[in-house]
This record gives sequence, structure tokens and C-alpha cells, in this order.
Amino acid sequence: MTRYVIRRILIAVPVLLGITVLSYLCMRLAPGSPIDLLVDPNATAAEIERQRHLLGLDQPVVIQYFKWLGQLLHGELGYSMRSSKPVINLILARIGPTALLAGTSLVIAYVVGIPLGVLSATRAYTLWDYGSMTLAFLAAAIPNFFLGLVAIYVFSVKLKMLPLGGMYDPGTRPGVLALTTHLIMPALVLAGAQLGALIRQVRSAVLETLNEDYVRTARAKGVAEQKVLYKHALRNALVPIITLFGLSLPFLVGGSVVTEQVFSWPGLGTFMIQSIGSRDYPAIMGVTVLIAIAVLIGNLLTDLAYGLADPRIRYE
Amino acid sequence: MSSAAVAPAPQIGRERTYLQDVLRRFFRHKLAIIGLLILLIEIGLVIFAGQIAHHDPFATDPTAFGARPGPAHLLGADSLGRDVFARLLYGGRISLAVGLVSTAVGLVIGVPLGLVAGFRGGVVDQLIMRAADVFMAFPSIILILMLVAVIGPSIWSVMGVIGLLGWPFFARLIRGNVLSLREREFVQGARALGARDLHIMVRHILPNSLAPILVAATFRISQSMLLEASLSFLGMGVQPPQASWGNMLYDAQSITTLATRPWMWMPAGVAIILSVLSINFVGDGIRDALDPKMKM
Repeated sequence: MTRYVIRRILIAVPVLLGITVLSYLCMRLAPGSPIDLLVDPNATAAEIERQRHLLGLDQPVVIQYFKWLGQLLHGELGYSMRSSKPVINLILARIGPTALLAGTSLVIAYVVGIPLGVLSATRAYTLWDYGSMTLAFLAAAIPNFFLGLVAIYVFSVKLKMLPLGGMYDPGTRPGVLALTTHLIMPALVLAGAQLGALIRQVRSAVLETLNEDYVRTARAKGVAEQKVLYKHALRNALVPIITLFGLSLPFLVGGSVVTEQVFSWPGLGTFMIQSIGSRDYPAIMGVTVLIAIAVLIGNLLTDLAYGLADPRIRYE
Repeated sequence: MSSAAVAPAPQIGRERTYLQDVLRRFFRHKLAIIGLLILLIEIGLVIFAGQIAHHDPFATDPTAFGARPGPAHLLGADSLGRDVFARLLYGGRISLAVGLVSTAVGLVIGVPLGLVAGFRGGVVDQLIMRAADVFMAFPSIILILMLVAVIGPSIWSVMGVIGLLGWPFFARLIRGNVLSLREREFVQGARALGARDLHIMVRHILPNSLAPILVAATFRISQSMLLEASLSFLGMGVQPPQASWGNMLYDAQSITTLATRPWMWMPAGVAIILSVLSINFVGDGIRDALDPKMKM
């Protein structure tokens, strides 16, 4: 087990490096530079050159990449070119809201999705099944941001029940109640984005295990149907559900970028879009590394969860 | 050496061909038929957009800034006085084209890479699959945002970039197929007859992988359309004055438009949902028709 984890981490290192190279290249090939926003448009060429030199932008891109990488190995993410603050502080300020939003939506999606999927499978081809499959198809077809816009239109504009966006109302004291009312819509919208694939996956996984011999055996020996379902069928359906969870992590992060934008949620997603807009290289790279590490750790945990779900799976 | 002629299968009564079988199963799938009908209508509408819409989708009409839906403008006009209905039809062209072209780009890159990775194995396989990991471990919308920033937002960059990011899905799928087909008798047989690798890949393995490729491609089309919409909504996709369903929703970022002029953004959103639903239904139908046991 420990050896397995170590080996997986060693494999993750080149993937992580690959992601940083890819994003560094993309970013640096992009037209425009952080200088455009930092210096006065009437600045002389010499002044611009001086600024470029100060930020180290006059060196070859490859050298800059390795300098950045060296910094990273020392645990340094550098300073934002836009605000001159340490990138790590900027990220730390944004990470809480994103974790809250993504985490809440994940819980909602699984709390709603798993029972609906199970219901759909145990009562296949009934009204329950058609109902939850309709929901699944719709959830997969609605663009995340459009659902957000409609939600704002209905609940904020027409019914005036919920705030338009942000995390707290400006000028008021942050409180749990305000936070909850601001969180409901974005969390539900982001949960909706995950629901489609989840319901379908749970349904097909449970349908499949319900046909297995051990389920028939359990029923034949008189085990109560509830117990057959939860102890025999659902337990064995866990593996494909865990797979889906691992695969959907990048989608969750990507979805929160768009959702945060719609609801002006002050998280990493809005920070990333601002940083890309102003070509704030250290900030972009900081968020990129963080997201990549989070996704890779998520994948590792997913693979370890297989062992919990199915003791037959061994890690060498 | 030319490929051996296939002996005609012995006829027993009036048997259905494989294609007839597939079509029969497809047309039994009610949702797939509905999806197909909606798509055909949609394609007809966007092809004949010029004949159907009475307005120029790019002409700004100062007398119609934000006009409500009515006889002059069927679905109203946008904040620059452009006819929403006309833009919806012309935007549909772009959105559907982005879906198709970017999926094609993904196929063109992903299929050969997957074939080679599965067939060659070893270092080549490792390199290609680790590259796929890099692409898949990272939220595609962020990579797309960065890539589009490199090339500059336009419909071509959107098609190219979404296409480029589609390759790992196809490559993985094909590779898995190749691994299971590689050891089958017909491949062994071809090899025993002295067929070269390229011949085996293109003539024996590829045709046998077409069903899952087709199904995956269908779902990728709807995925790409959703990505285009998100990208254009963030202002990094198709640029005005060109219309796409995504950038018609961009205006809704302004709270006044969102709150008081729903006709400007609702239709494009509904069009996206309808198309994605239809494509997914058709994809389901194709999957069930090609192989009732296939799981995806």
C-alpha cells in the first residue's frame, strides 16, 4: 500500500511538470504582456524596457520557466505582477470560497443523485425511472451558466428571494445566514452540472449488480429486499461510481470557474479569469499548479477508495 | 498481396443485413427519432436562415434598441437593435459547425495516436498515454481559456482548441479497443499472411472500432457545443458581430439585460439545450442500435 502510494506520487510528478510546461508555454505565447497594464501608455521605450527587466521578462522564456520552477521547488509562488502581493496570499484568500462552493455542490449532487439513480434502477421502466432519467438528460444538456442565469432571473429578479451574487452583501456584516442565502443558488447550479452523469452511472451500475448471481442467491435465501439492495447490490455498484467521481474532479473545477463568474463568487475561478485577462503570469501559474495538484491528489484518493469499496482489489 | 475476397455469406431465407438490423434497432428508439427530427429541423432552419429570417443578423437598427418581441422583430432585438431571431438562426450555423468541426479535429488527432499507442505499446504507448493524462487531469475550460488567449478568440481558434482538447478521449477509447482486438484471430491471421502494421491498423482494427468511435463522437459534438457556449459566454469565444448561441448569452452578464430583457438571452439558451438533448438522444439511439450490450 505505502509502496503503491509512493509509486503513484512518482508517476504524478511528470504529469504535473507536463501541465506546468503546457500552461507556461500557452501563457507566454499569448500576445500582450503584463507590462501593458502596469506602465503608463505614454511611457518611453526605455522605461518599458526597465520594467521588463525588473520583472525578468527580458530573459528567454525557457530560462524564465526554469527560474519559476526553481522557485516552486522552494515552495515559492512568486509575486503577482498586477498587485505585487505574494501569489500565495492571493490564492489563500480565494481558496476558501471555492472549496465551500465546490464542496457543497458535491454533497448536494451525491445526496440527490445516488438515491435517484438507485430508485431509477430498482424501479426500472416505471414513472420513477422516467422522471429521474428526464432530470439526468436535462441536467447534462443545460449549460451551467445558462442554468445560473435562469436561476438568477427567477429567484433574484422575479421572486426577489435570493441575492444576485457575491458572497455577502456589501456593507453588511458577514454572517452565516447571509452566506447561506448567497451560497444556495451557485451550489445548486454547480450540483446540477454533475447530476446528469451521476444519475445515469448509478442507475446502470445498480441495474447491473441486481442481475448478479449473488443478488439472486441473497434473495433466494430470504434476505430482506432492503438489505439485498444496500448490502449486496449497492456495495458492489460502488466501484463504477468511484470511477466517475475521479473522472469528474476536473469538470467540477472547470464548472466552478464558469459558475463563479455567473454569480460573482469571489473564488479561484474568478481570480483565474482576471489573471488570464491581465496576463499575470505568476498568478496564473500559481492557480494552475494548485488545481493540478488538487486533481492529482483527488485521483490518488479515488484509486485508494477502490480498495475500500472492493477488498479484492490489491495494490502492489 | 491484395486482401482476400470475402466469400458471400450463404443465404438462409430472407435474412436482414447488419445495416438493416442496426437501422431497425435505431428506429425503435423513440427518443432517438425525436432527437433526429429536431436536429433535422434545426439544420434546415440554419441552412435556409437567409430565406427564413427577414432581417440581416448584423444590421443594427437604432430605432429598435432592445425592442420587445413583436411583428417587426419576432423575438425582439438586442441592445444594438439587431434582430434576435435572425441572429439565432445564423448563430445556430456557427454553434453546430463548432460542434462538428471540433469533433472532427479531435478524431483526426486522437484516432491515429490511440491506434499507434495500442498497437506499438512500450515507450510510445507510455508517452502518448501520459500526454493524455496531462490533458485529462486538468480542467479543460481553463486550458481552453489559456489557449484561446494565445491564438486570439475567433470561431477558428474555438474550433481548433476545443478539437485539440478532445483527442485524449478518442485516443483512450481506440487504444482500449486495439488492445482487445490485437490478439484476436483475424488480426493474427492477417499478420500470419504477412500484412504490415499500417495495413492491419487501417484495414482490420479501425473498421472494428468504428461503432464506439461513432458513439463517442456523437457525444463529443454536444460536449463541444456546450464548451463553445461557455467560452463565448466568458467573452473568449466567437466574437461579435458574428453570432453564436454562446455569445448571444454574453449580453446577459449585464444585470439590466438579464432582468428586463429576457428575449435577448433566453432563446439562445433554449436552442443550446434543445440541440444538446437531441444529439444525446441520437447518440443513445446509435449506441443501442450498434451494440445493445455496449456500455459508455
